[in-house]
Amino acid sequence: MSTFLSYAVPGVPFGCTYAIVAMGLVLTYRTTGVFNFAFGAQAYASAFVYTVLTGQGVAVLPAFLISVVVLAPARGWILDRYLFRRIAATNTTAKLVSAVAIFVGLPQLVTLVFGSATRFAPPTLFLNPANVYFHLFSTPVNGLELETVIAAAAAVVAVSAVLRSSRLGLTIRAAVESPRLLELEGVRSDRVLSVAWMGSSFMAGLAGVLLAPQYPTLQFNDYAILLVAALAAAALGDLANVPMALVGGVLLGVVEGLGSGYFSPSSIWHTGLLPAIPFLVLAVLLVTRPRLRALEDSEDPLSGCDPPPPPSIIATRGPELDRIIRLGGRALALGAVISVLTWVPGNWAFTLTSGLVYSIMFLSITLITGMGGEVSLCQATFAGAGAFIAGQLAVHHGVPILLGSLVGALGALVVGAIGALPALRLRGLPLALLTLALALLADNAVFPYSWAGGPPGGLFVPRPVIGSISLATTSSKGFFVLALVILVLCVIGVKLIQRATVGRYLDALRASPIGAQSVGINPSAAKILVFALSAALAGLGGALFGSLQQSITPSDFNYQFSLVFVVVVVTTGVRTTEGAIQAGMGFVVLQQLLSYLPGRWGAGGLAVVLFAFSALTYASHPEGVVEYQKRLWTERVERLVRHGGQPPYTMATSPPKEPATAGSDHHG
Amino acid sequence: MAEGLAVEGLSVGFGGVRALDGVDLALRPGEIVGLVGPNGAGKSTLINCVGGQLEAAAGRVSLDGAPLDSMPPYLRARRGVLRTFQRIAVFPELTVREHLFVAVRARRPAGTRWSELVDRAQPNEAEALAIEEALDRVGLRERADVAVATLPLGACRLVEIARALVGGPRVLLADEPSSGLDPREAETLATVLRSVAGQGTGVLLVEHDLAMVAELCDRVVVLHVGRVIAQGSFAEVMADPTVQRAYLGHAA
Amino acid sequence: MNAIELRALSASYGPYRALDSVSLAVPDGAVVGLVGPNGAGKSTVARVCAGLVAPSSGRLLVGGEDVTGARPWRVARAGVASLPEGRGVFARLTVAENLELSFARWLGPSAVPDAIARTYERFPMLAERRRQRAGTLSGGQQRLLSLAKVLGDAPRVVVADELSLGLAPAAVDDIYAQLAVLHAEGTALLVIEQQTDRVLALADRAVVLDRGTVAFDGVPAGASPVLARILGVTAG
Repeated sequence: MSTFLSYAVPGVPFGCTYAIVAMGLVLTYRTTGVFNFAFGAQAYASAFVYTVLTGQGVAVLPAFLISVVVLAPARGWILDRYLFRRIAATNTTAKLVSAVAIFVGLPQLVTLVFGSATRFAPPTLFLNPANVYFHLFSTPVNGLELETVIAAAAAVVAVSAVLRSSRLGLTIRAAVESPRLLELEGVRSDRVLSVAWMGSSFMAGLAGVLLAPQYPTLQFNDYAILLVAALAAAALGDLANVPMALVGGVLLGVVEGLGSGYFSPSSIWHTGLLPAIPFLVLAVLLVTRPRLRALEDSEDPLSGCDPPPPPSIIATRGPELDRIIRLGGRALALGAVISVLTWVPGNWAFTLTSGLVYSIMFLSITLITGMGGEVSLCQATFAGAGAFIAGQLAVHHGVPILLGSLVGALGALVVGAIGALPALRLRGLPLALLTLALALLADNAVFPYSWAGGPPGGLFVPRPVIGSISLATTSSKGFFVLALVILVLCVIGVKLIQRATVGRYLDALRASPIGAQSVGINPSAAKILVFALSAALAGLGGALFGSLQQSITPSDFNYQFSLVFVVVVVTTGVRTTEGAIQAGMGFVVLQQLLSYLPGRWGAGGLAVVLFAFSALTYASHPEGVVEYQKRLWTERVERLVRHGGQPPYTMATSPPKEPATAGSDHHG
Repeated sequence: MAEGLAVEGLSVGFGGVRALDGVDLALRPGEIVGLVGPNGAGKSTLINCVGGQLEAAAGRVSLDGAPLDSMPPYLRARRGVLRTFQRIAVFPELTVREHLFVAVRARRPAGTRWSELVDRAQPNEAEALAIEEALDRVGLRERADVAVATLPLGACRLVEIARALVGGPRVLLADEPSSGLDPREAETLATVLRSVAGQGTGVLLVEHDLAMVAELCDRVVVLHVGRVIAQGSFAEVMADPTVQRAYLGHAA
Repeated sequence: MNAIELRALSASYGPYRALDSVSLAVPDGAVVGLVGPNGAGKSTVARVCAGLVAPSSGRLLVGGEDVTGARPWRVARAGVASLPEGRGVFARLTVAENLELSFARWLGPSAVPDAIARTYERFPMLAERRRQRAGTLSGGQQRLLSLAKVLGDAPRVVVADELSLGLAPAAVDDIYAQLAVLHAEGTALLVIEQQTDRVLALADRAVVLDRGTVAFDGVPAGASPVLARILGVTAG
């Protein structure tokens, strides 16, 4: 018993760190309607400022005031004012992708501004970290641990109070459900949501500063892990129940404490299972808790006031213009190909080749998000599955890399199909969270093994040999041609599906799952198909990526890449194959261009920041930046051609759509 | 075995509240049965149970003697149980014609073929015929190639009706199809429903417009707090004092 | 004084022109019925009057104050209570919370308990369900709840869009009885309806809208023939 307690007790303060973040997530979700991935990034940003200030000799209190009381709410105000306010309350994808964009963009921005020098743990807020205050079941409790537990207890009281009783809480809940309906009551919903965002950011800042002293050095990765682990704790409270989130966090901490105590550090349980427990819990909860499945079910009763989305520009532009644009596009592509094969220097040829490979991976997002209508946060995992299968086959069995890539794609296809099974009853946010849990499971419990992710130094993946031609490093232009051919084949494949009967079924399912099922469309088969094909594309792209890089490690495919991929593709344009290619090429070209910048500006983070901030435009143009710009320019050109005629899709008079009888007789 | 749709002893609860409590109902081919009752009486719940959108706690639903109970909605649709929705559930980006194509193709009992992953999404001859017939029936031929997002509500309801009846269902469940229609559109709707029934489809019609119920329905079933409180001809049912109290109010 | 007035007002719904220079006025204390076929622009009038849709030209006045293009909260504070089509209550809040939210805004926090008590007296059905989430009420009950809010708030004018849509006859009776109470208490009403009989019986004045323009504006009895002609059917 005493051994049990000596393992369990230290888990409590550790679990309280999960709990603080979990309660912050619940607060943000309940008060803003956004599932805030950015919470981790916001906590990190405040912790960073606090660490920098105290590191320069500023006293704890003023540093706390600046980083948490002033800067954190200001950040929340900015996020609301320039990002989340512009997203319709019911647009799950936009809210999710925007939050993910902040999650990946904000830490990079911090590094850009302040540099990436190692920063050591800042002082604690009020208790002496080293001082042992008392013993609990003969386990020493130091100031750091005590402070965390006190903070968690304070948080549960404060957050519950805001959500439960106060009139502000009532108004905020109404604003989350429908800002417009609340405005009909004479309330300025924008101000209410501003306050909510400021409060939630304050909470994030507080969590960040409280947790910073726990780690020897300040690293975003710790906060990212904390955030995703806290997801499991928040899920235990159905993302709504604050005390349950606290309980969930503490439980997770205790389980981890027990695990690391009882399992020997070298055992498979310790290295494989233990880090994966939160994600396993999250996955199981998502699949089994009906209330989590129903998270996104309510609707804005006033959504009928929104005008219909404009049709795709390809569907509306005139035939002559269409021909000109197609020809121009092909000429540009041909010019680029010829240039690469002739005069473009080696490093740029390599960059453009990797752009083609990224395009193949990004096509998988076109399939799953653009056509399937779901956000997946494990595309890099699928890519990794393909890459590691191809690499392992080549290294251990001498399988040619091209054949191995196909096997890798098939392997990813199987993984995708199996991964779709628990997701069959989920959509929207819960589904995205499940894919994230799967990605983290792979990161923690599969890829670290040498039979999967290769030896610690990296897995060697050979370049292909076609006949007598070897596409080794000296001739990366040969690889360029190969990647181009494969990309074209993949694009043709995706376009074929888009035009086919199955593509129509997917359109129907995306628009109205209930309507689609009512005419005989099998939603489960469609979901498995989309996941499997998407995973296969990602796996193929991943295998080619490995072959291009020639050496890969699990960190090349970790969940953060999945997040970046989604942000890059969705903000560029997720509905068309062109969007995937533009995203792939744009991503690498931008990085290569920025690498000419001096110092840390050229280190690669800036590209991610730029894409993340293009998510700001995504809020106003959910079809993607490229699609929006295309529409804009097509309209300008057409207007020029027609000498001031009307925009192409305007009809003289057509009636407004009046919404169906919302809400009446729901249970009738 | 009895032909048509049979509902026996259907019960559903929502968190302690009985939404349906032992409901029996039969719908023969070609018959139009009106389902009326106050809001919250369980009409939509019944439709959802028959369509498969909702799982019943107890009771059975069968079509031509074959049980439907454990089937998901898409399999029921392939058996010929089609429906419309109170809150319209159309596909805004698809044209009217594409709606009908998807509906007639997906309902094929054999399911999806692998070749449909890469075909050109064109209807075959029989399907094309069915699509054109459905378009004519609901009078949407001129707007057949318009994206449904740009159509007004009334037209969307007709699209839903057409989507359900293309290819000839065995049973049509119409959940307040005239809600939000103006008199002109309601007249089209009545004509369509009558002709669908004339071809042997059983129609279960949830409707508040009593004039339409009187005009169309062979039989009327009145639900109140999850139970059938009366059934019979329109005149019989409306004369029932229980029905007058529960449903009609002082206007009758 | 007009409680609410549209002057030569045009509005669009996305690329579509929904209202074309519509003028109509509801004098203080009066009941105006707005009818017309689907797609005539009735719901757009309701949304413009709530501030949910900004007019492209023309003016919107509430009690003589120009609120053209103002946000919904400004229009609401000028005295317009909007009952939107479909669900006009917060589904995730309880019945009591819906009432509290509204009364606290319009009557001040101290007046809330009294106002809620009066409401429960008037609507025993709501008292029974005070702890129930509004989303679990039936359609008719939800609309009674939104009317109950308005009755407590005593606004200058109520704009009601398709209140009887999808309701059983008995529920429609309840709704119209409450509208009559509102009218008797001096609130002006703009009642937009698909089913014309009830609204024309209640209204002092009727406006018929057709394809975004006013086809008729006058005594209620004059509206039916115009409507019948527009619809091309004998039914009114």
